[in-house]
Amino acid sequence: MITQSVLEKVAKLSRLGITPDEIALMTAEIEKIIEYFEQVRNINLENIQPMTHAVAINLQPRPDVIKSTKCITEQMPYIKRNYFFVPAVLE
Amino acid sequence: MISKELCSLSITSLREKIQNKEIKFIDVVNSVLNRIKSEEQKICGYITLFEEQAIKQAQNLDATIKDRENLHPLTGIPIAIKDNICVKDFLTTCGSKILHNFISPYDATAVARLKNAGVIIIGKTNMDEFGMGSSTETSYYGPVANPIDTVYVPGGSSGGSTAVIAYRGAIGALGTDTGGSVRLPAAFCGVVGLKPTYGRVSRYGLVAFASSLDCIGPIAKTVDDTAIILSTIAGQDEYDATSVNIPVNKLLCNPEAIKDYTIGIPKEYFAEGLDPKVAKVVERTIKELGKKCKAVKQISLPQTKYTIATYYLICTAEASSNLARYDGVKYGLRTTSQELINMYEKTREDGFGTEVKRRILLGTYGLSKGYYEEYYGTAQRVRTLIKQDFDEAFKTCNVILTPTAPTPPFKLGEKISDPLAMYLSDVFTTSPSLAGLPAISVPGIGKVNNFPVGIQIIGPAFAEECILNCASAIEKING
Repeated sequence: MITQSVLEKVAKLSRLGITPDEIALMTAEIEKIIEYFEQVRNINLENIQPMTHAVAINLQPRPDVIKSTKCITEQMPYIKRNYFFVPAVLE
Repeated sequence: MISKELCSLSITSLREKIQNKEIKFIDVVNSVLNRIKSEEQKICGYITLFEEQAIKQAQNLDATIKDRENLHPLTGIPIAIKDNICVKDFLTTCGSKILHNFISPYDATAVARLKNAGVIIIGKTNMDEFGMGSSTETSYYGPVANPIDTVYVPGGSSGGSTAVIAYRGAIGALGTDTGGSVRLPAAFCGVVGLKPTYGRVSRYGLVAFASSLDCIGPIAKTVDDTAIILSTIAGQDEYDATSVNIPVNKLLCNPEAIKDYTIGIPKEYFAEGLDPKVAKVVERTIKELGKKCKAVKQISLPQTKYTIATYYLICTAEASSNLARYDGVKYGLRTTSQELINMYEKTREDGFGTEVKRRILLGTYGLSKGYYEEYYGTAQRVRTLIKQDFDEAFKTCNVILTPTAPTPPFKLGEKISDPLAMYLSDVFTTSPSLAGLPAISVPGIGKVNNFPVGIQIIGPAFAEECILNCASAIEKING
């Protein structure tokens, strides 16, 4: 059961700011969608392996070599000695 | 008369005229730009237009290319690129406010391959925000209208790319298809759109929505043109470890080849929910095609009823993870705040539209503790069953034919406030996506309310040539 408080918690987990009006509207919509999703839980899936990729692929590694960073650093708003400045993310 | 203008010709016809020196490269670009000027205001197909660069590039080609015999078929051809595919030094917004200022630092591999062929990139096309939508109404840059009748949606999410092809504002285009986003708008706009086998075209430089499903695909006026673009962009790429090392032959469409094909018709696609008028056009197409192919037989894809639920469980989970990178720290929009968590939340609140928020919430819910196995894990298992359905079906047929969409185009605004009704527009396109199979949408034989009806041809993995041959046969019957 999707309630407004469940959705508020999920929004917190998603780091997604959301207004009370949006929460009110989306609770009903998401409840309806989840109800529709429920049908997959009635299928017998015993011994069925999950599929993570559509085509069997042998991942091909490549040498981890830096070619150029200029194209990235060029458009950063604040750069000093090849370091770019971002808001503090460790509190 | 638009039909006599260069912008209305196919790549193959333009190639011939260029080779015979009947026309210059600049003539083609000017014809396309004139068309954009007259139509763009009412359609809103482009987010960014490369007018100046396109003119310069065409003039340069005219001045430097002397030997017109051995040109790549795409040299000098104006191609539009969906705005979630990176083109170096230009904006890549994904139709979102959160990337309103993001300039691509590199070319996507598909774009680099087009550039190597001498393509003239004419602009970046409008799209549902991050590819999330079936009508191209969720873009921050405004909804796209269907050029056949502007009261209607063009389908989505590559509605900008298909609309500009339909109104002749580009000769070819790239779209992206996660659960039908090339095929559905191709059907609604009466053009051809192909989703290749997963891994056939590199995803490097494609902004991720649902990584296990995302594909870049060509859109054009004709099946031949679609094949030309696909052969140019396909092939393994060291920058995408999931791209597959299978040689790409020069794809030539041979409508006669279908004389050896058995065409499978899945009975589950002709059930409740399919508009009777659409069904009539599909049945007529099957009847006409039946005269040219080896056999038409009914097949069964029993898991069809579960594909929408499975697809949306998987794509929302992957989207919630992929979109976590838009946090205001590294690039894109930043809404400043003294407090870090508040900065994340405010940036994402301001930067994302309603549908993206809805899918992030759905995906996070489906991946959260206690629900992961129940929802995401279950959907991954059902995905295995869906693929097994196709494996079984392809033991008895070469290609599978279905409608691309269950209904003709709907009106702008008609489904935007009912997300589940919108999701159900993808009911026929999501199963090949989940199975990773190639599929093409081509206009069928007949119309509904003046709109062409898209026919979807699905093939086994890496059998792009088969679906192109079959689509080409339908195109030939249509004249």
